[in-house]
Amino acid sequence: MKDPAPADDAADAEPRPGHIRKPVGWSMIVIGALVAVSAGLVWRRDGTAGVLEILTHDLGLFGGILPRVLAGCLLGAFIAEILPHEKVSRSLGPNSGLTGLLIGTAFGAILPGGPFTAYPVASALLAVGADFGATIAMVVSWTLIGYGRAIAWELPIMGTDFTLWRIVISLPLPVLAGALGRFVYVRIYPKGEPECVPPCSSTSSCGPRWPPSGTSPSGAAGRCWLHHCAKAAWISSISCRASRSG
Amino acid sequence: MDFVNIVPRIALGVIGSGYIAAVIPQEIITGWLGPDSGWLGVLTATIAGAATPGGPVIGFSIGAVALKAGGGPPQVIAYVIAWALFAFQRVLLWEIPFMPARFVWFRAAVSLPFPFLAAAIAMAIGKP
Repeated sequence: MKDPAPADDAADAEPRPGHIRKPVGWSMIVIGALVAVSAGLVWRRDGTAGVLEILTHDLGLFGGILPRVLAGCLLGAFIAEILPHEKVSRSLGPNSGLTGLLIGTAFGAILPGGPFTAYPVASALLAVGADFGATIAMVVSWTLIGYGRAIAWELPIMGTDFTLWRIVISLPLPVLAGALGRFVYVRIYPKGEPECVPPCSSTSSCGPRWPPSGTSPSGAAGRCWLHHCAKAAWISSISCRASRSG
Repeated sequence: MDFVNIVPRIALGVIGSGYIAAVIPQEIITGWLGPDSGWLGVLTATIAGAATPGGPVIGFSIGAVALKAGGGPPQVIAYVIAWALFAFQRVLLWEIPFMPARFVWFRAAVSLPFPFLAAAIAMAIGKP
């Protein structure tokens, strides 16, 4: 199964290359300690009956959400397989207008994976010609209406009603954020920035796109690109911009 | 299989939030994030969301605790959205390393109004 753990963005268990992803990260330890202390306090206040009552209730809840967690894992894995990454990284430039913001929003919403895929992809988009507005729309959309985190974490923990309304309310926000970003950007940087194709694209080892064509996004080549080429792609685009403006 | 890795986290989040909710004095949550806390509650929730350490398990668990303990839905919406947009740990660990730092600050700055806008929408439509 592919890595849908995507949805887990935090400190815990970042899969750096060459490191084995730890099943128990420090955030789990922190919350585990918090839960243990809380359970102890409940036990002191209400006795064993109080502890068992909460446990039974929440175990029932947990049993009910397990199938959804499994469905979320499978969905993440399948979508990561079929998404046409290369086609998606077009039509997001500064003159793409509302369409570009909508594409960015839609892309962020369907983008599989966690922060270790979303941010490198966003960075690569910036490097190959997307503007701040469309990229902001994508990043904000990924954090607010991306299905991965919502299905894997929010739905089980927060409940269906809250999650659905939270997402409905969030729907307009990525486009608004992107539009605000563009509005502010052209006033801060009125000259704009020349388009730069990163030199990385001319070398054989680092293509400008992620994942490298013909490879799986979570495979070794995809991860290798993220860690060696994503940064190089935007650093080279920045130095290119600096040399043009200087 | 990642399912195997995810299940214990979900279990801890779901079961754990019940215990945390049981020991957090309800007056604190209802006072800070309750339906009557208004815009001050939204502001508190936004700051709390940005300052929440850890991943989605902790973020959503605190949101679930706030809801279970009587927090107002608009305030909890603001909390969850602020957490999604600004959680400092994700920004420092993931966004800044992978994105141009200038983009990150720019993105964060233009995102500032949105927890408040989301809370306003939630208040206006009376949901969830």
